[in-house]
Amino acid sequence: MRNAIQCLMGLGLACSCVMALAGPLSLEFAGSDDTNLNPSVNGGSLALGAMVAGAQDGHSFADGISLSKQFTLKLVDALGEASYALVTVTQTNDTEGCTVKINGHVLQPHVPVTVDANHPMNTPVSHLIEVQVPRNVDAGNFLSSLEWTVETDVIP
Amino acid sequence: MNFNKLAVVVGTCITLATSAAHAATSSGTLTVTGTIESSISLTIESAGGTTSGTGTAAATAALGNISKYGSAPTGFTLARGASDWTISSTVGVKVEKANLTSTDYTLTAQLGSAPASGVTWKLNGSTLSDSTATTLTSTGTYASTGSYSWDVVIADSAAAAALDNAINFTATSN
Repeated sequence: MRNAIQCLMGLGLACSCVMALAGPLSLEFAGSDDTNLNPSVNGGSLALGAMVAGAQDGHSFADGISLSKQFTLKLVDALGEASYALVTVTQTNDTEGCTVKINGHVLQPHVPVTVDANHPMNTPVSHLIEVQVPRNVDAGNFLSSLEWTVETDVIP
Repeated sequence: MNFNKLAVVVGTCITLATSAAHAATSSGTLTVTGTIESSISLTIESAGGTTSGTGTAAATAALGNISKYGSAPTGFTLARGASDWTISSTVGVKVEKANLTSTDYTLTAQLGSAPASGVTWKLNGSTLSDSTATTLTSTGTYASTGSYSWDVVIADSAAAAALDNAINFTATSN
């Protein structure tokens, strides 16, 4: 009995060690050629600047404001054990009437949307964000807060 | 007996530890900001003559060779007076808005250069000049093509020469 309890305690310690091995996992955002993205720890801010209807190549005035920007996301698994991760994005703050897409997936307020089911680890992967502002949305500040959640695969 | 129960508990603990061992989650926030700016768009939808670029903000109307006793240019009518003659048509102008609460707009027109001597350009009955903008409407309706009468009056005394000119339209939201 005593031995069993000691054994359990030992396993508890082992469990703690195993759980610690799961991290750290971090997200590194970066802009591309024409994307002004200021990265921060596990996040960043993407400044789109002045947004005017029909101003972007390939879009007419009738389209309203339609912007797309490329950026990269690198998932860093410090221990190098995971191969892929599931990436979901939740829009936690939005500008009413506007649409934000990641890789073609329309984001929903407070609903996680899978934007990459097999995101490779430890290498920058390009992603596309699209912002659409209809012509009937009033002028003013545009804000969209996107919470990115990643979950690595399970290695047997 | 007690030891066996503990063994079961231990076994469960191992199983849980194994299944959760290498899956990790993390999250981050990307904040996207910008400024939505108001804008309006002006397009020339139609005009007399042989046109190109209609539906854009830079249209061209070619009238070809015209004379008092010849035929009217395409899309025009020709009226002969005692000492002058007039070719008449219309110009269609559409103004649209985006991200703007304005309910109507003011539209003006101005010639790009001084007209040739003896030649008068008119829109909506008002004579145009190259120095002052002429107001065509101060209550224009967005997204609707406004049609404005367009007349070019040519005195019989005017020298035979090219009439070339530009009409610059300016829309301002009210």
